[in-house]
Amino acid sequence: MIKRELLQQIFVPAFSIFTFCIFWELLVWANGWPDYKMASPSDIGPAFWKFKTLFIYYGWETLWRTVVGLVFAVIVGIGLGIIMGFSKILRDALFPILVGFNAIPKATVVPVIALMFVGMHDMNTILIVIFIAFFPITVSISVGLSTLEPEYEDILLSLGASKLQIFYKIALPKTLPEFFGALKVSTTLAFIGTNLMEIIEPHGKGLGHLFDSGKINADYPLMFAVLIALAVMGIFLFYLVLILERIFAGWAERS
Amino acid sequence: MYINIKDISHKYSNEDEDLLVLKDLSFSVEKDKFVSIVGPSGCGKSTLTKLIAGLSMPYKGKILISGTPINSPRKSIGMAFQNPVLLEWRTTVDNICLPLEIVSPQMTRKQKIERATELLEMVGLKDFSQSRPSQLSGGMKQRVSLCRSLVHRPEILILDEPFGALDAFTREGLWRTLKDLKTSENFTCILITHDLREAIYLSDEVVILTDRPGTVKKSVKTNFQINSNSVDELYSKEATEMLAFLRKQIELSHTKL
Ligand SMILES: Nc1ncnc2c1ncn2[C@@H]1O[C@H](COP(=O)(O)OP(=O)(O)OP(=O)(O)O)[C@@H](O)[C@H]1O
Ligand SMILES: [Mg+2]
Repeated sequence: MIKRELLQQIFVPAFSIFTFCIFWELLVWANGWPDYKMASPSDIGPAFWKFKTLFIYYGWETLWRTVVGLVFAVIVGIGLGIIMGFSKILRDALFPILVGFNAIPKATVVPVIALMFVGMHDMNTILIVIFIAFFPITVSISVGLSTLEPEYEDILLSLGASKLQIFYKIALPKTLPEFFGALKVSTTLAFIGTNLMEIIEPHGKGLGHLFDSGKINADYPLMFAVLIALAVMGIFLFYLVLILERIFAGWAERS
Repeated sequence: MYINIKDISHKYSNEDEDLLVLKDLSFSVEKDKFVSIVGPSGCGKSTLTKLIAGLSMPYKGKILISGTPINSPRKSIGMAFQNPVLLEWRTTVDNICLPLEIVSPQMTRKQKIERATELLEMVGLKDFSQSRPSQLSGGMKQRVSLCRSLVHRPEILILDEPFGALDAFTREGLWRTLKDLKTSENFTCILITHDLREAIYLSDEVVILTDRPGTVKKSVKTNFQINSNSVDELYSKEATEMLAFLRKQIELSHTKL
């Protein structure tokens, strides 16, 4: 029974991706689109093969910056979320600033950051990732903490528990489902962050660079291949978060 | 007197005005007795429980427990509310262990689980010790909440409308469970309720509060004991008369408005 479920979990997505590719291929073929308009899956495969070492090398560059940035975004996001969740004054003080900050399109922040820290490409990229990805986490944690029903606190407080005990015994685990929801959004955003930096302020590293060289050489299948690679990496990280969620907040799932 | 509440007043301060919730309220409870508190909605009953639990201080008057004034939470209090507030990520038995983790960190996990299981057995939920709260019915959750409030052997149990959200039959079942627990565990109980039958069935004394600002309107000893564990005795002549009497007291407090 379990084996069947597992098969189903692998087979169904695989089949849907396969169908999607067929449909795509047929669409391009039926319309007679040239490569520069819409590359087809049968062109993208060879593009991957041709640049396979570059894909691995640049893909890794993009991936580690994204993941490091995401980790920092989580730390910053949780930190701000805790501060804003527990203190109403700080919540009122910080919220407008954070909302305003989040409202600035990050593409315009990229050149500013690049100027501020000229040449420090790794740090620039990671900074942008943090800026773009911390907000959902902050909101989820602060809302989770500030909406804790007072009875939860009363039960522990009446026993003489400390604020810290209430935090890690109740408040923190209780916000985990919201946190993971936000982390999924942040993961996708983090990739946008890395690629913004790589494409707007090219520093010769990462998949963004590969994309740029595809553009310069009018190698359209390569450009599409980069998009696919980004999607694959995004899916990979997303599922990683999903697994973590199952482990740490699986209790919130209703069967 | 074991619990001695002396002339307490309490107010909540909002931005522009103070709301006086309790005014010169006094009553006392003897050790191991069971007292019910009834009164109109919003008269300050829940506020009173918070004061007794030491979660906040009355702005006037004082509360003595065994002669000592309380000015901070004590480990010897157990609380349960209308909302059972179980922790969804913990199993039933681990939910019950929670107070022990705060109050008796020196206990081993095995000892904690033994104690929790003992209580689970008493409320008839032994088979559900490994279930999650989401797998329990409302009545079962409230039973677990009761176990949690008693697991650390508190001297005082404070119940704030614990059965308010349950249907009549489930409620009667829980009354019986609470009575059983009262005989096997030793505690003094203060129960807030809106249900006069519940008050009569469970308690030795019923304290009736006035409208806000709440103060004691009348204190009535339910001077007969429902000994058998049957809810049927609630329908005896004596109990019905008591019920009618209590009802009247409360109605009078309304017509005063
Ligand atoms: N934290 C608070 N801040 C300000 N006002 C409060 C607060 N808690 C309660 N009140 C007010 O104090 C009054 C008494 O509230 P309380 O919850 O003690 O009433 P209650 O007797 O328990 O009512 P019910 O029977 O409906 O539960 C209410 O008018 C309520 O609006
Ligand atoms: Mg109340």
